[in-house]
Order: sequence, then structure tokens, then C-alpha cells
Amino acid sequence: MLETVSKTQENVNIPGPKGTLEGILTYSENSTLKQTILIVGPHPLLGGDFNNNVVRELSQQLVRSDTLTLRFNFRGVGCSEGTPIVSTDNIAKFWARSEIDDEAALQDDVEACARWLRSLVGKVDVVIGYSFGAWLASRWAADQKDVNAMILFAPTIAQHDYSHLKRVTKRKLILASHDDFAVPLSQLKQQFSQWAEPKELHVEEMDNHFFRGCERQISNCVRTFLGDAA
Amino acid sequence: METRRHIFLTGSTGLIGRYLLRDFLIQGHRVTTLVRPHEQESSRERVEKALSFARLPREITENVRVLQGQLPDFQPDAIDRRLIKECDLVVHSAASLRFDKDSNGEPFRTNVEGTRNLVELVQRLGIRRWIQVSTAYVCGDTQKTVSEDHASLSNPRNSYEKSKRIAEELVRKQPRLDWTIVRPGIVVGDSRTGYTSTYQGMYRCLKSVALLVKRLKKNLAGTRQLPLRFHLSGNELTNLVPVDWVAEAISRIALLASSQGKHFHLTPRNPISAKALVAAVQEFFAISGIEFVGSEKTELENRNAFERIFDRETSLLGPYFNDDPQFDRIHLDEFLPKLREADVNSALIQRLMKFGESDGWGIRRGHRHIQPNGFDCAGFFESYFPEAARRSELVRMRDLNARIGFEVRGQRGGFWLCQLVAGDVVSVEPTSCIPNSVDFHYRTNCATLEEITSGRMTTREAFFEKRIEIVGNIERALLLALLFEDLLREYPYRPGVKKVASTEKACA
Repeated sequence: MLETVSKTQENVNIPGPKGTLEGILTYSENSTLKQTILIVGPHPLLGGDFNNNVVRELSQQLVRSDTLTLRFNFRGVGCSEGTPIVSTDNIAKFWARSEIDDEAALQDDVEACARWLRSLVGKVDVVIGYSFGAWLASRWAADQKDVNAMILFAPTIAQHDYSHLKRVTKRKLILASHDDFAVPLSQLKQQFSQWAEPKELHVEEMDNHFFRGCERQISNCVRTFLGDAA
Repeated sequence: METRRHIFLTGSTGLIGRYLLRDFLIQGHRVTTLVRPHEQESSRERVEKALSFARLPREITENVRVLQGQLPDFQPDAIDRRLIKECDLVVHSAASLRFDKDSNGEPFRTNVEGTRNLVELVQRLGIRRWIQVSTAYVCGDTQKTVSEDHASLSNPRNSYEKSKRIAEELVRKQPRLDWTIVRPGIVVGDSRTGYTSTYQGMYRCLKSVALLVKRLKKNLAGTRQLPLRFHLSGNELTNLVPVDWVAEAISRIALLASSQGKHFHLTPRNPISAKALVAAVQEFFAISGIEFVGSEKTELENRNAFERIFDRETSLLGPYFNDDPQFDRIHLDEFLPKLREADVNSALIQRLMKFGESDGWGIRRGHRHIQPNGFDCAGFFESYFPEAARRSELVRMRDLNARIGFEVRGQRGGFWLCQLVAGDVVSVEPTSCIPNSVDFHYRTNCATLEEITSGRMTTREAFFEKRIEIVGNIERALLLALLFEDLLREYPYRPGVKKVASTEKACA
């Protein structure tokens, strides 16, 4: 009647700094857990929730790699507690300056999810961030000892400061579409060249900033990268 | 696990019903359910959709069999009868929730005649065990403590209460039925997720406040005031119960043979007060201004525009604002001593609000507008859109200056140019093509536009399914799409209706 799934998806409530955050754990009960991955979605005003096409696809496809993933909604998004982020006031602010007040504080939600994940399975091996989430995820993961790799989709280099990656020696995979309006290719290559090794840059045509229709392609790319890492 | 049962369930696409279906399936039972088809969806599709919230794996959902039909007119054929006959337990949760009687005879038609016909059918097929999902409010207009086995009842306050009371009496009179009657209080969404599939009852209050809050402007102190006065002291108690708790209780009571011949109040141990309810709502929206002005039975004069809208939207709920009775839970506590408590508190109210907001209070789950000659794009862009936009949140976007194009392919499609100045739609005009000078333009087709305007798809969903393409400033186009979505939610588009459908404009 419904989609056949060998994976388990579990709705979870995570204590966050501004109330409970809702999340979805995805894993396979029949396999040995190799890696634990935290996925951080894009900005809530630009399609950022745990059902975003990239976030959902990665979560579901990575199960095949004996991986447990946690995706979550930021405070004020979906059923996560907190003042709603998608509001007219915030839209007006974002319209004027491409950011909302105090959005860097959303990194505390990433921290809360990681803490919860560690309490569950003891570690976070890999962090994946998409767009605005790439900024939050990479900043957070930079100093986390257990995190051995970060995967950044369409990192918002024109909007946010990624200079911390110059000193981060964890494995890094960067994916972007060559026509991404938020990730100017020349700027990405220039910044990437300054980031610390080990690192991989994967650029091809992948539907601008949104990866629509390329979800399987990018998840295969990530699985290959993680296979190397395992 | 306990013995595997085969349950005949009605009302499985309703709020309680879908949770019962989920719980019975998770417990490993088989379920046969009777569901009426809709114009656009088969009975099976409706069940699949109703159950989708539970994200159950296929091996579990395969234990559902769907019969097509509608109470009270259900005429089972030989196959239907055979399938029902295999069941050993009936859980009758189908009901009409109408408070006032309509021209079709609802709620009596479904609640009384439907129960009567089903009772007769299952008895003919030899099934004895029957669980009747009723309501705690069959007690009528009383403020005393209500016993589960109450003998004397006060006057019902509306047709719904009366119909449910008659249905109970009908069930109790059946000598060949081993009945149990369960009576939930006022059912609200899921205690953990806030999920609900319906916005009736108490939700009308929450939804009305949510819509009014959108019209408020911040004062100099940066807060917003919603001037609503309630004719209450604030200490009145309301028996709200979350749906997952109700379903858990029913699914367990149903399988207890010893519960036969008993009534169960499924009501909270600690009902929430009006004051706590309002405080939670005010905190959620970061507003103030809602007042309790005492319960004296004097008319409040000079109702302001906000109050008039609220009164109108919640007029049928009046009796439920007064102090609820206290319901005893002797049987419930005796039969299910370990049942978790799920009192509705401030955190849960905020969770319900949160879900309601994210779900657009159900408004966007509209039905398809079928227009014989295709969707009237010109009517939408040139008549509805400018008027609705001027009354919507767009006008608060003082920095919103943009020239936007709409390109809609298909029969009755075309090109339109829209000029926005300081949040105001100053013009929407047809054009022969989209000029390069626009800030951005949306490209879609008539079918997608029709789905969006009918609320069956959001702009975001359409974009991520590649049914909308954006040319130009993508970021701003996505932001504006969020406001368009709000606009459609607040002022649903009704093709053929010239005036924008909306509630009264409350603030000048």
C-alpha cells in the first residue's frame, strides 16, 4: 500500500536551546552501524526543512551505506518549538538584506542535535550541510574531535565567512552546480584553493542552487566519498 | 503480542479513526474499514492519505482492507459481507461533527441512522462485540460532576450532542451486542507532534486568533495587541484531550472483554483553564490584549472589529466556553491504571498552534476547482490577485518594489506583468511576452497554477517538483512565493466568485 522500505524512520524530539526540535532518524535495523551523520538543511526561508529534496534524499539513500542519519527542523520550523521563522517580518528583512536577525544562533540548534546524537550513539562522524546549513555545519564541525569529515552542498561563500576552513584538516567534500546563483564559481574555486587539505571539489551542472532532479546523483557522490572514508 | 484480532473500523479517515487504524495495525491486528470515496480519490487512496502521517512500513499497512461505502446508505455486496463477517470486533468511530442540523438531516443521518444500519448489519452477520465512540458531552448542559454511568441527563446543547446521545441509547438497547461506549472529551491534535487532520471545535478559536494576529501591527514598544474580551472569569476549565492518547485508550479498552457493558470517560485528569489556554496562545504569538471581563451574563456592548470576527467564527462554540463539567474516570482508572496521562498544558497548546500554523490551519487542503474550459488565468491575475494582495501581508513589505512576470502555459494561459511599489500591487496587466526588464519571472502551466490556487499544492512544492521555474532573482522570487502562499491561504481563491473571499477586514 505504501512505499516499500527496508529502512527505519523514527520521529524524534530533541531538546533544543529554545524548546524541542523535531527530527527524523533514519537507519537500517539489519545492518552494522558504521557511521553517524548529522544533516543540516538550508535557510528556512528558502526551502529549509527536513523534507527538503536534498536533505530527505541523502537521509534515505545513505542508509544503504550502513549509516544512521539525523535531519531536523530548526527552531520555529515545522513542529519544532520556537518563534516561527517564516513570518512576514522575517521575509521583509531577508528581502532587504538576505539575512534575518540572529540567524547565526541557529548553530545552537546544530549543537543541540549533535549533543543528542552523541547521547544516543556516542559520536557524530560526518556532518552534511546544504547552503546556509553548510555555513552552520562547517563552523560547528570545525572544532569537533569526533567529526572526521564534512560535506558541504552549495556553500554560501558569497554571503557568509568560510575562512575557518583554512585551518580545518578534516576531510571535506564540496559540491556545487556551476550555475549556482549563490555560489559564484570563480569565487568558490578561489576560496577552495585556500582551504586546508584533504579536500575535494565536485562541480557540474546540478540545477542551480537546488539540485532538483539531481538528488540521486549527489547521494551517489556522497556515498562514494563516505565509502572512501569508511 | 495478544491474540491477533480482526477489527471492522468505521471513520478511519477521521482524526480519531486514523489514529485507531494506526494503533491497531501497530499492535498487529487486521483491520477492515468502510470508507466513502471522494470525487477525486478512491476509498483506498483516502485511507492511504489518512495513514500517511504514521509512516508505517508496507508490511504493516498491508493488513488493511478497504470497503467502499458510506453510512447510512452502505449496501454491502456478498464479498463485503464475507469480509465483514470475518471480523470479530466493530469499532464505530464514524460520525458527523456538525453542531447544527443541516438540510440533509446531518448530524442525525450519519450519527443515528448510520449507527442503526451498521448495528443491524453486523448483528445479522453474527458479530457481537461493539465499541461505540461517543462523546463526553452526551451529558448535555450541566456543570455537575458527571458519572460514567450517569442516569439523568441535562438538555443537549446542540444537534451533535443529541445525535450522539440517541446513538448511545440505540446501542445499549441491543440485546445481542456486547457493547462498550467510550466518550472522549474535546479532542485536539497529537500530544507529541501537534498533528491534526481537522480544524473543527476548539480549533476554530485557535485558527481565528491566528488569522486576526496576522492583521496586527506592532506598537511603539514592539509588541502587538489583540483586543479581545471574553465573558469569562478565566478559571473555567476545558476538557481537552490529545488524539493519540484517546486512540491509545480506545484501542486498549476495545480488547478488554471485561469492559463490556461499561462507559468510559476519556477526559483529562487536570483540565486546562481558559486563563492558561489564552496565556499559551498569547505567548506563542508574542501578543497581549486578550482579557477576561467576568462571567456575569450581561451583554458586552461595542464589540470591536476583532471581537466581531472572533464571535462570528466561533458562534457555535459558545456553550463550550462556559465551565465544563467534571467527568469522573472511575472505569478508566480501574481498567487502565497504567494509562499515561496526557493533560493538555501550555507546551502542548503551543505545539498545536505550531502545527496549525505550518499546516495553514487546513485552509490549503482545498478541493480542485474544476472549470470546464480550463483554469481562468486572466481572472485570477487580473481580478482576484490585485484585490487579495492589497488586503494581505504584502502591504507590510514597505521595501517591496519589484516588477514581476508570470508566464503560464496552456489553454487560457498567457503572460502578465505585475508592478509592486512599497508592497502595493499598482498594476497587473496582460502582455505579449515577458520583457528582460523584470526583476524575476515565474514560469509554470495552467494545471500547476490551478493546483496552487486551489490549495492542493504549495508554491514551494511546485518549485521543488520543477513545476515552476524562476528566471531572474531566484532568492527574491522564492521569498515572494511565500507571501503569495499566505495570501491564498487567507483569501482562498474561488473561481467564478467576483469578490475576494475573506473574513472582515479588522484593522484599518
